[in-house]
Amino acid sequence: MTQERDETTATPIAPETEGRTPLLEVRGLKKYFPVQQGFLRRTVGYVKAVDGVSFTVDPGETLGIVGESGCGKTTLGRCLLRLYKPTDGAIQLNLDEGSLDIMDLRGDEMKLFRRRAQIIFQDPFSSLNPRLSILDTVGEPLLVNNVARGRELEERVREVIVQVGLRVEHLRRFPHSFSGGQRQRIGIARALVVNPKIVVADEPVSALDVSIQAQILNLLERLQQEFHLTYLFVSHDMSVVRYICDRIAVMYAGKVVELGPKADLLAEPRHPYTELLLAAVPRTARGVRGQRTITPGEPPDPSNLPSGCVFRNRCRFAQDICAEQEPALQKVDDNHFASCHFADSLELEGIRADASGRS
Amino acid sequence: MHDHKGVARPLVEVKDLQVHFHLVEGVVRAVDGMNFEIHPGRTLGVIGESGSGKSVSAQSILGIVPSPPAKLVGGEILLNIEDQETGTVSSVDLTKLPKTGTEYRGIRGRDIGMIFQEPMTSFSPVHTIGNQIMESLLLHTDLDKKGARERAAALLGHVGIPNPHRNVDAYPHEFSGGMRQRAMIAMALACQPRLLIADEPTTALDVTIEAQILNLIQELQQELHMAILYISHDLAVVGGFADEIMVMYMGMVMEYASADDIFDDPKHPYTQALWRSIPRIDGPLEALVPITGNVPSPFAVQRGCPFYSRCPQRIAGVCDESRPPEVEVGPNHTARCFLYSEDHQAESGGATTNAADRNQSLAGEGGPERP
Repeated sequence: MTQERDETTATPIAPETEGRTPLLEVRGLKKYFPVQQGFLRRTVGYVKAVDGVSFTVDPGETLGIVGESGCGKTTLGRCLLRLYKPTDGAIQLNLDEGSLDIMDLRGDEMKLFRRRAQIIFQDPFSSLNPRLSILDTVGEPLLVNNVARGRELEERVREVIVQVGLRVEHLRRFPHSFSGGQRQRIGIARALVVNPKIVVADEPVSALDVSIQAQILNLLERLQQEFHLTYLFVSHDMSVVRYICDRIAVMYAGKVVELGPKADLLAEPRHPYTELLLAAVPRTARGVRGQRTITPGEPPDPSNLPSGCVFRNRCRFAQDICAEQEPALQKVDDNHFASCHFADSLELEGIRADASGRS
Repeated sequence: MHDHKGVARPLVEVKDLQVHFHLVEGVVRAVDGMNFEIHPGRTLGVIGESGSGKSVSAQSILGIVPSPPAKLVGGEILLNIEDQETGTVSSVDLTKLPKTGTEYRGIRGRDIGMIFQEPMTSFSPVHTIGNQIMESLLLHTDLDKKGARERAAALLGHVGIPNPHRNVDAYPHEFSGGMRQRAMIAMALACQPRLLIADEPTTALDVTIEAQILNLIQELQQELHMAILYISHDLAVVGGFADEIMVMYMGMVMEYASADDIFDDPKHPYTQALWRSIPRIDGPLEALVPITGNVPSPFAVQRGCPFYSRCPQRIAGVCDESRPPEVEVGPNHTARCFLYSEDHQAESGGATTNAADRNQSLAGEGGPERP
């Protein structure tokens, strides 16, 4: 069973990079969490949180990772940062200082990796230590990574604090005196203080008020340009992803089911799940306001996945072959991949943007 | 306006409701002069950011605002219930009822049902789903235990829970988030309430599940002819769901209009600014224009408009001096803003151009939020 799965999913499929070296290369990444039972904690099965995911990320781009809760998007982000040790697969990060094999980091390599790969968390209220001042919070990565200390550290923190739109007077204050949006800026400053190349942003605006979301999204975009950052933007919110990402990877039950440039994927999805996900978001344009399609069913239990295609139970196009054979992620267009047996023949509906516009 | 024969009185009428929180740090005007009405079968959407007072206004209707610190300072909440047989309407002012009395208890759960935001935390983890639904049935109906259990199972089946007769004995942790929210709806609708208050019922759910749940609520609304008060921070969701929309900011209703008007012809600068700042699935892909600044501290006693510090069209000397009036800007469309008040326009004709200039300069400068 496992053997079969390996054959179908471990094939590395990545967008054509045309000679350029991608910043991040992920191949056949898997993260299985054991399910233990009984007094002896015997492993009775596995939750396949991430199951054979392959993609690459170019320097300076934003790759959105979207999907419903439990699809493995957060686990994927954490594996890439080595906050979890992946079960199998290969991850390579190509830095100016040389290439790092993320699966096997030792000593100095790990230190370098921790400086070049950072994370922005979702909840700005629980991700900051209430007992540390802003100076200590933002300065901590410099200290633990042996980058700077003392006056040099404070200088660097001042610099980055201003870059994220906070004021230097805020340095000695504690998180409780800041609003959600300001706290998220602190979280961003903490990630950026060590000059990372790649930042995993895990739902960075989901916990913020609507009027603050745009501030943070615009800030992330500006910082990306200024510091040539590469983002992995993990989100469940298609509307947000549509604004900030260059490419989008859609995940379902631990697998990437579709991967492609934003415009193509949204306008002409090639996987039925992407269509379903897009159709569920309420439209706002005049005439179609509030329209959304209701599809019954829920994502499968990741410890007990269906045979063949993981999406077949909710798919309106499912055929016999979908239960028998797992579809591989295959090229459907330039840089556009989908894992569906019928990716080439289905006529799927995407998003029609409001061309009339509204100021 | 609805006094003609055949047109019923609104089910709920809220008039100049004011709820203040007396805290150590000062007084927070959580709800500051709120007016609205909901008719049977209609849905009123309430949009607002955290701290705008949207949840407190809903809790005031149910009489479950924690008091102290909350204090009902003024206003009335009328619940007009029509007797099906005689056709007479009995009207109760909920603010006058003792919060723990039997009369209020008879209204909560029977006439007014509520769905809370967190399906994870709103159920007791130590009782079965069925027992929790049965509780209100046993309290408000003549059903005996066996009958209530039957009804609970039927309700679970009605909201789309598979194997209701088995799942009636399930504990909340055995349900997924979507199933729990369905069970919550079954609980809220157990006694067929006339008013359903839904406080961010889908915020914790995925969009596909959200679409299912909202569709379920709408089907049940048609079946039971319920009025719904729907609270959310998500404009796109409310726009597709509500008939009228109320936009709240720091305890004040900034704008009140039909859903179409709020979307297509927003009048209040706050509503307009919200529109420019939210990413939309089918909106034009231009850069978002954030609302500058932050929500001011709720303790800051303000004489003027609470949106003053962030408003691109503010008029110094006017908007920060006194409370903006509720102006009728169209049929069934009000905005709480000086821009539309005739008094103001008459006395300072030049102010509008000033405001436009300021708007320009603000957009150019943008602060750290918009480089």
